[in-house]
Amino acid sequence: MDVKDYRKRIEQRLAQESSSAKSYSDLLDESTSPAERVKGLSEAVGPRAEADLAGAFAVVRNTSEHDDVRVAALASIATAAREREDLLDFLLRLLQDRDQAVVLRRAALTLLLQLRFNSAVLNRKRADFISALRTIVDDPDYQLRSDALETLAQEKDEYVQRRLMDSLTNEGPRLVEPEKAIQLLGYDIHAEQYPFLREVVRQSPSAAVKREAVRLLSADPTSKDLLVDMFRDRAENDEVRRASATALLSLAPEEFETYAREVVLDEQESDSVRAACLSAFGHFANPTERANDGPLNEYLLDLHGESASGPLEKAVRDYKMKYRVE
Amino acid sequence: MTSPHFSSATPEEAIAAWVRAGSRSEQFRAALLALLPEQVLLYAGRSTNETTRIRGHILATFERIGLPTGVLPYVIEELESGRDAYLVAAAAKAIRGGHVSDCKYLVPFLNKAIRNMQYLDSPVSFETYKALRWPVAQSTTALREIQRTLAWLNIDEEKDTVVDCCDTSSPVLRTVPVSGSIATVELEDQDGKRLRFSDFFVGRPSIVVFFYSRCDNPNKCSLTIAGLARLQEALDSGNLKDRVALAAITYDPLYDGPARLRSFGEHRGVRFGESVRFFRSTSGLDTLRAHFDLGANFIGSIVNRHRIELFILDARGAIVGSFNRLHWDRDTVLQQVEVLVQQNSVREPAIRGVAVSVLSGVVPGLIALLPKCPLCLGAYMAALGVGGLQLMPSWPWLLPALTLIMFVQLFFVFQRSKRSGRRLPLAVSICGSAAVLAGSVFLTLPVVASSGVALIVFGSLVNSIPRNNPLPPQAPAR
Repeated sequence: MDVKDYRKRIEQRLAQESSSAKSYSDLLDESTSPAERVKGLSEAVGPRAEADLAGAFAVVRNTSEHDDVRVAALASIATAAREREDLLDFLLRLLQDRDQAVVLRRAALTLLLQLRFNSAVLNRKRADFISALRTIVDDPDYQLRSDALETLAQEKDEYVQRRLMDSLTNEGPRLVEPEKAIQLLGYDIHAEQYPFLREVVRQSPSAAVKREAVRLLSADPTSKDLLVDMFRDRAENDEVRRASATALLSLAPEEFETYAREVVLDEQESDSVRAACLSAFGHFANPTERANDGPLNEYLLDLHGESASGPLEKAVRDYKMKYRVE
Repeated sequence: MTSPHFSSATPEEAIAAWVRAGSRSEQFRAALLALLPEQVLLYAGRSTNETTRIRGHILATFERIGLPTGVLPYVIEELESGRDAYLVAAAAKAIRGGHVSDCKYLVPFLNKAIRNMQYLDSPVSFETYKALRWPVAQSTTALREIQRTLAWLNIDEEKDTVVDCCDTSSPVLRTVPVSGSIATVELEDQDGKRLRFSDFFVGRPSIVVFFYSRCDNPNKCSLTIAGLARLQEALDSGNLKDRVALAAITYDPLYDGPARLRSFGEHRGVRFGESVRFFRSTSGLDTLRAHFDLGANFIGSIVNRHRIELFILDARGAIVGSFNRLHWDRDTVLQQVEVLVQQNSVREPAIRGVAVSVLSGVVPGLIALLPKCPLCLGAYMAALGVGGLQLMPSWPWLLPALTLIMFVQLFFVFQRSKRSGRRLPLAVSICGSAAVLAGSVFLTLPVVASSGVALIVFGSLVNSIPRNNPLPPQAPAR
């Protein structure tokens, strides 16, 4: 078939489909079935006329409308909202309105987060956006709360940093899981958080919490000894040990290499930790030292083929390829 | 009125309450002003956020109680470089504590703050200190406060010109040369080499800035180091290469190791060399802080707040100038340094020059005239009226020792000629030394030895005469 003919066929088919498809204003009509409206609005380019835009808003505001239809109508105005301050203000008000359906508010937040990437108007309204997000930090809905916390943490918001710390130290209500709260603090870690994080590492019964705390301590030089202890402690959870190794690698690369070498050579050690150390060698180690490390390289030659652990074998293979160990 | 004794342990709420309750009196304004320098004990051990809250609260209060002149550098600093909405809003509010006619020149800084905060603005509250929940009854934003201040100044639009406001260069801080504990502070450079403070900063004028790689305000440390790289370019193109040392010292020595120092500098255009280095202190950071009166404070080892700071040191390592808080102008810094270099080449210590000249003549003279054998010694002793042959117990070592001293003197002549760029004194001294050795040790020709002494004395005298260096060409305008 000729390319021109093929193109013509496709264009005819598209025209046929669009002529049979309902128009945007039809999708807003309550007489159309909800399922069809949801599907149509989700696929629609969006309102082209001001009247259609007003109609979309009317659907969003209409509490007697099906929630899914309202959400679909909201999503369809994304392009129009990008440069319209009045539409953005509407979205911000909707987000904070606890009388509205949660699904609709979540859709408003999703839309706003998308618009952060391509709406200059929204970015100039950053203060209003931050204010709206702070308002839903205490929202009963977990998803809204969590998304707001994450966004504010990424924006290095002082208010949310304080709220997260208060929630971890029991001076304020719990907002999200402790490991999530610590993770969020990592977007803008501050020195005053280090003593608390060290206590968490030493005392928390949760491996997930300890792992997140260890990760943040990679920026604290005074935590180096603690990280060494965690890394070398065979009784410690493997995830926490691997996180400690990564943190130590960042803080004190030469010390890390020394301890990591010991771990790799120790057959009593956990395979996953040994594999992590070898992988780190492959990316960050001193290449001359690695290439000249006779005892380690000879050991790895023997190790290949005998290890039961897939990740360790792969790490050995990659290491040997990197440093030409044969 | 002085502030109550606020320490690093004073709860911030108590400080805020005291600030809020203050009156519109000159004493209270002075007391608040005294709390603004970063190195004040009040801020030691506090988090960055807490430090920001306290400082912002203080700055904003000047709107109510009146704006003393001494606060202006702090206000302008926030408008020029600040990226925290609370502090920038507070600075904009503070201006409204002054008189409209006195504050019009601040408009370009307000416009700069608008550009800084355009996409960084955030809601803040000065009515509720440290809000525990949101929304609060009253809130504002940095941009809103800036616009209010512009309206207060009756400004509709303004040309974007920066007006010289405050002279943020400081008068001479101290002229005492480097000595004592600062001289021996140990530094480690971007290559891991260790040396003492005096090893690098004594011997030629230098420019030193302070920074740290974890600074999250690109208008401060990153811009400072980029500015240092531009200074380096200007010095190199203006014939001052290697005659002025450039250095940057980190506030964060535990984190900024050699690799980070090098990386941070290279990524901003710094070309490292013998006279351009970055340092961390391996011991004595407190001594450095005290010596430079650094505008920085810490929580543990980590900076919680700092200002922009550049220092100019003379050849003795004494601080002779500084530029603090605001962005320094490259050409202004260069002008001060050029004057220093000129003074350095003119003003050699007279006593040292004379001593070197005298030494340079005496030692070769001794070599030339000293008796080389016991009989000669006897002749000298007889001539001097001392009877009896009496060998000097240290005679076997004296000639080599004096020869060594003569070579040491040659080395000093070499060092000085390297700095001054003159080769003649060195050439003459070398010829003279060779003649002394030839005439008194190898050939025993007094005339040759005496001529050698004369050449050495002549070379040393010429070497110690100050040279009038022409001014280096003007650095190219920015």
